[in-house]
Amino acid sequence: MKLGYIGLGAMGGALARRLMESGPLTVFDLNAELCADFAAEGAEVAESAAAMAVACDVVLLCLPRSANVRAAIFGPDGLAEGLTPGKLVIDQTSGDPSETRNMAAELAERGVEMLDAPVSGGAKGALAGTIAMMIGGADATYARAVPVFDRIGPNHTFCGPIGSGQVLKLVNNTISTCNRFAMLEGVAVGVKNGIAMETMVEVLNAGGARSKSSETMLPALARGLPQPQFALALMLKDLNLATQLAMDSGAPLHFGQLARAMLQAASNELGPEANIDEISKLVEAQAGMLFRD
Amino acid sequence: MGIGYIGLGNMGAPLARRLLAAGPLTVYDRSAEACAALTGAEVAESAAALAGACDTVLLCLPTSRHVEGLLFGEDGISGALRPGSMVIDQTSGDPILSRKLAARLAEQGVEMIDAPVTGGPEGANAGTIAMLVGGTEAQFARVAPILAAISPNAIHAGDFGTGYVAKLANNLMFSAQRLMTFEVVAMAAKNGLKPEKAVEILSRGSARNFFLEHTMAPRVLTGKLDSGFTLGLAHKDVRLATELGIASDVTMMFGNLVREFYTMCINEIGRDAQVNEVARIVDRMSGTQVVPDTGD
Repeated sequence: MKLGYIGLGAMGGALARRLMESGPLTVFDLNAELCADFAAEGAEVAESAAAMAVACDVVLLCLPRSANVRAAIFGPDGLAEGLTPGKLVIDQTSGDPSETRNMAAELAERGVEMLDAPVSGGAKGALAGTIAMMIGGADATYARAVPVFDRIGPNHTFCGPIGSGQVLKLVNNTISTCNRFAMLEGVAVGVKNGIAMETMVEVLNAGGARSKSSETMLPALARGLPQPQFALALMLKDLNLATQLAMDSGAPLHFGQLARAMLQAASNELGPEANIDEISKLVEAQAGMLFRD
Repeated sequence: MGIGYIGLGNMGAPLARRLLAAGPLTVYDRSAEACAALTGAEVAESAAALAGACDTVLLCLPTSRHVEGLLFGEDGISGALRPGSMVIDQTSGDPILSRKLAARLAEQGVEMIDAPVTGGPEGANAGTIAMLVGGTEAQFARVAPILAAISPNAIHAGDFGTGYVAKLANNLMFSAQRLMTFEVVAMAAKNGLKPEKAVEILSRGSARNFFLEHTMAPRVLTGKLDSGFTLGLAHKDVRLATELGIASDVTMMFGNLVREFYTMCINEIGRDAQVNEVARIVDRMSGTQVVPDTGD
């Protein structure tokens, strides 16, 4: 089973490198520099997505948005030009479930199968093989792809029909963004009442408020350490998709909507290039304090 | 060539009746009963027949999707509309979808303007209803004499679509006032201020608003929660307004809270429930009894 990977950015690059540890890999990215880096590390670089589709049995993608995935599959020199019946496309993008369902249906007309398999756990988790993968698609297709997922790591969970992985990823990112804002505003109250940042790192992580945000973002803030790179614009995209999905399914997202609004304000104030951790600067301004002792 | 009205529901019927009082009118509705109720009007056999017989066609339908279906769906009337004719859409519509509809009509030389209304069926009947009109100056001048038959309060909002935008902005704010009023009166009641007194004082002070005066005092405080407006329709307008804000990169922090509260209410009591039934939910959530027990 010959594997290909399209999209060698922060997340896709890490997942591709993980796959290269256990076997050969063909890669492609619109950014030639990224392709050259991978060539130097031993990957075979395809000339185009279409060429990769001819050469590979399974093609994985990890791109910023579902619109990019559509372009990579159905655009000029796209995968569809080279995909033949029986081949498999695995989309690891944090995408739009309804758009993914549409693409899967269009691929099915050509006899090509598709799974969505977005990830949670960051580039570090991908390289360490601890990353969580949430998978949507037909049972039999998942069974067929298990050896591929195993090469990335053991934490892959089948979630349901096509799009289910992306639904869960949106739910995950909504909860994690709520956690982030809740942690920041709560800690701001602590700081304004004279409690040391290190004390809050210790106590909050020992108590019921513990979350990924309190475990990683809070100590990094307290100690002035660098934060993981994740574009605020991409998180806003996920919250927009999640809140739209909730609206379409008639479920209220009181807190998720507030988090979306705060992210939208942050995006308007900090600009499109801002990193997600910069929301702490906005909270500092809004709360009239600084996250340091 | 005459004037036609399609969509004789809660809002469309009183608007059509005003036009009928000023001159001849052709009407159409899928409900024969609604057509028959408009005594004196000429009833068209179909929407397309009306479109073929009139050079000005007014519409008032539940949503822009219905307008899309009427214009371009199966048996759509777009083919029957003649070049140079004018469609006046009084639906509380979606500006984004409607712009596409107007562009398609323009390809065949048919003009379209938006003229949604605010003031309810009572305002329409009284001839005082406000119409928020989106279109060019020339289009506004062309339709002004027709709209004048409905009410003197036709306001030129701006380019095509701005009438819908104004209407959505109005309805989001009004829907927010409803929730804020319920919450504030519950807070006052919980702290010893009688609901009637709270409403009286708020209506005299800087918090005065349309909802307090026209709905809270005469209806909610007397237990008359039936206003003819459903939770589902209120939610539709709030949803369109917040989606418009989101699509234009506005935070919509408060608007979204309002929408999610209505969503929650729909899940609890259904979208066909009267919108002011929300007062009972706020009472339950607050441990208050602002809505009197009317024994029903």
